[in-house]
Amino acid sequence: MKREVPLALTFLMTLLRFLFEMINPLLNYEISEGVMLFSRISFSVTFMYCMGLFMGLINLTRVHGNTIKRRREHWIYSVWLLIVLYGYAILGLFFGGLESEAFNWIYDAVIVPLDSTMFSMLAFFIASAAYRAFKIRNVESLLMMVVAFIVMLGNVSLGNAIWGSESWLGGFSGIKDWLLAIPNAASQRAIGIGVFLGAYAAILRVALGLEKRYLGGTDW
Amino acid sequence: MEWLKRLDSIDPRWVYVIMALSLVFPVLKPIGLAISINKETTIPVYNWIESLQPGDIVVGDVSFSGGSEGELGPQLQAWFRHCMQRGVKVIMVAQWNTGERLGYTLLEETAEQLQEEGIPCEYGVDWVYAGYKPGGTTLWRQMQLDFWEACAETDMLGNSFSDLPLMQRFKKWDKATASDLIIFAAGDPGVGTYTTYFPDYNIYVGNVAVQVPGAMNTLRAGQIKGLLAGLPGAAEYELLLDKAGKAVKLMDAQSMGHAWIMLLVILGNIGFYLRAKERD
Repeated sequence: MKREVPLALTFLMTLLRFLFEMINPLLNYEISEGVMLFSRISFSVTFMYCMGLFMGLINLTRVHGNTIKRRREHWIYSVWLLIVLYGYAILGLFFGGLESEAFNWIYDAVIVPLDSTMFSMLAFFIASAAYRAFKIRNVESLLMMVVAFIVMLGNVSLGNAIWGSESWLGGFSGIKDWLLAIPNAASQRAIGIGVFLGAYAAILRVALGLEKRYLGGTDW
Repeated sequence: MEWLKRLDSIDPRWVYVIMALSLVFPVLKPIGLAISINKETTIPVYNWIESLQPGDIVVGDVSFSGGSEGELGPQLQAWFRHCMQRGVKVIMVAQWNTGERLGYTLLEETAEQLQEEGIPCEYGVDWVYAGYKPGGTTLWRQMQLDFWEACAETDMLGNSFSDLPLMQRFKKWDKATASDLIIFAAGDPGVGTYTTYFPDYNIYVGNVAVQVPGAMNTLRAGQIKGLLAGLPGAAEYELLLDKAGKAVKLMDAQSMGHAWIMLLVILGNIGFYLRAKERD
């Protein structure tokens, strides 16, 4: 039963979700006046999301609690993580949430700038990585470099100043647009079709009970 | 010529310092390089808002966080300004909880500027920020059936929808209430939610530059109708509105950053070539 019940539930829910999308009257089906079946299912998903967050909180606390207890390497960061995690949650839950100045200040002055800083550092890493790795070793790498330069120049006003969009072939931006719209779009489509075929296969395997690893354990 | 060979081993600290200077100087002292408007990506977004009538409702989605604010923030603000100038009503949702408040802050900032300029931009009347609602993409399907119920009848600030005049016209999110939408997306969940659940709506997208190659096939196929592509997309939109702002200012910095990367690649290859020749 430990195995059969989750498998049957998975199959049922996959089928139900599929049918909701395929059969329009089912999407609008009302179990009682003004209460749609889909709404009830949708809210159960919302509830599961919230429970997932709660499970994540418990798991994170267990993992980092153990790190602190056993004084593993960098355990002090785990202390900091738990302080931030619970501190911010408590501030949000019991001290006014979005109406609390402190809660909003932490978001505006700490979270957003930190997030931006992390992303901005990419500029430095990309510069360094491009310098070290972008070496012309064969015709393919030469071709790649030429295309990269065209796209980089086509994206910025410097490219427009060197070879403007009103000139022959639309300048750097004209060639960049063609590269993105024709060869790039064609390859993106091919990749997309491959990815989705793989995803369909994976979903079918889960729905039919051929893929069981998500159930955890090792005895099946 | 020995120094030329050393070009393939420049100290990374110089790479970083010069990159920082190339980005900072143009911001402090803009060069003013000309920006061309992309007819295939930016113009359709601008024309879409121009084609709407005052009072029409459009839905916008904030699916980004602080990391992408540099590119998507100016896009969102320019687009919102355009909507308000045209009298188009805006209802915002957010698929990313980490960006929910950020999106609101950006819109509130623009709303204050607009009000100072005398352009009507009253919260609840001209725009509403429903914000993030947990439940994943299934909830977005639910929004089409009953927007109020899906959002627990409250906006991000906790205001009841029944107190917001604009929401009286938007109980259900269907083609009759708002057939056009735009999503400012930096990743997943993002555009896929709309191309899957809203395939017959007019979808417009604001993406960060690295996502643009991935979005081009959907644009070419007509799944999305227009695309604001990274910072250039935001700068072009600002120029179309004749209101040069943050994005236009940052374009010079981006030019210089790109120029430095290209120069580095060229220098690295000169050094690499000379060393390879020496080895042979």
